[in-house]
Amino acid sequence: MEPPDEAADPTPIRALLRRLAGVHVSRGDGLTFVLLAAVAMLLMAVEALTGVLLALYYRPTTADANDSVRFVVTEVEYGGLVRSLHYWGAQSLIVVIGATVAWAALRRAYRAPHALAWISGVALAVLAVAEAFTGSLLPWSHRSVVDAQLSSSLAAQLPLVGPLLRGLMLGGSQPNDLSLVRILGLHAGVLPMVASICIGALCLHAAGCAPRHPSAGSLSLSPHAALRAAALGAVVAIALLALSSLLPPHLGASAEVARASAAGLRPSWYLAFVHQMLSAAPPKMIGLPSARVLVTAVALGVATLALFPLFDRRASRAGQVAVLVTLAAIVGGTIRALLH
Amino acid sequence: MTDDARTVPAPDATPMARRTLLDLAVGATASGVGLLALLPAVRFATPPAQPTPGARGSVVGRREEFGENSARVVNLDGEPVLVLALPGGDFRAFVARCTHLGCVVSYNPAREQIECPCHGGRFGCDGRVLAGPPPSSLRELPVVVRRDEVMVVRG
Repeated sequence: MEPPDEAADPTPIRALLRRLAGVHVSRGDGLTFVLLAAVAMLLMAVEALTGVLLALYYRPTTADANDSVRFVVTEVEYGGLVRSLHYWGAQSLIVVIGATVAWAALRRAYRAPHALAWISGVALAVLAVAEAFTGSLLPWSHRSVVDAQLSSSLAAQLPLVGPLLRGLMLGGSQPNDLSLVRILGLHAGVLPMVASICIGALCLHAAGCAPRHPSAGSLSLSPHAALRAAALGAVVAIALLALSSLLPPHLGASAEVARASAAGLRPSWYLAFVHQMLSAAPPKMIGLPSARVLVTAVALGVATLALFPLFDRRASRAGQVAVLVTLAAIVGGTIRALLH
Repeated sequence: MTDDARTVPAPDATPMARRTLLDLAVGATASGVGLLALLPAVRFATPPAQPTPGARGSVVGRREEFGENSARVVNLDGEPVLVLALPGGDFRAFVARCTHLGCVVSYNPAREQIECPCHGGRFGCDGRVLAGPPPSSLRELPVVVRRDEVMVVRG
């Protein structure tokens, strides 16, 4: 089959649409990835839109941040809904991207030619967690103050770059007025920029894989897969709206940095397994403070997961087992920590 | 591929090796320049160190305001300090940040222990680790009681 002649078409948009119409995906894995990617894109769009709206009223200083978020929730029209959508969209995004990475691991989609897509996918999962976490600091509630202190101490445990990272994130060794501007810069600038580079890499990868010509086990991207994605997207959008209206996220009062105690607070669900490990560890492991060893191990574990295609030269089954065990440990640890 | 084909070098083997070397050199130079450009950015983003105030005492309350076997966390220039009134009438003070990951600790009078809510670290009234993951004792600060005023000395 000859590819459609793009040069003959006067409008690039029509050429693109015609090209997309020729793309076919397999009914099994192909369709699953299209659907997961479509839901992730929908959620990212919700995050971008509600994020821009929230930023219109946000004031990034330790004195004003909490009041500015409270103003949005209590005074601004649809303010509560916009904040709630932003919150639940972020939680859902972690679940959807996490599920996509897990599915890719099950289908061994980290192998060539998918290595770049796998690395981008794991990076996006980490970025989704980082976005949710930095976002939880911005209201500068009692909880944010404790989390900022705790997470910067955790970052400082990394060998060599740790204290530098803490200094860059907080603008000092303790949370202060510089911290919120930096956290906002990460949340609304640096992390989305890195995410868009990853998404660009995924698009390049998808363009490289397409078009797959029609066969018995395939269906066309447009309209067949696109219609299914639109239907799923509508269901997700309704569920997100329902969740956001029924369960608005709590907004706690602000607190002094020097007195904010973590008593009565639980860590966010996506970081619960890290805190569970930290609590269970003895003071020293291999002669070093256990927090340092555990934080370094978690960082190395995530980096190994992301760069796994580089190590998996031989097409061995042991590699897949290692990836699945790592993912199972994260999921199992999270569930165990939540039930604890 | 046959053995013959493997022993005969490809005609462009040398230029390819040169190209690889050239690619490496260009790559290394570009990364080096990139990293050098990043250094001033990192230095810029690190705020200049503020001068730390010298040793000085801060009055944290009057003796009679502390019940026996009780404690309070006070904020001394942004640093939490736990002032502990021991059952015998003595006072001790500690920097109230857990040595594990810096959470603010509090006193549990029933157990006569200082406890961290984050990861379950527990310290005795002398600041030493009793249980949990903290790697070292709490940092103690000298306490002076003068004319019924409790003063914590820092520096």
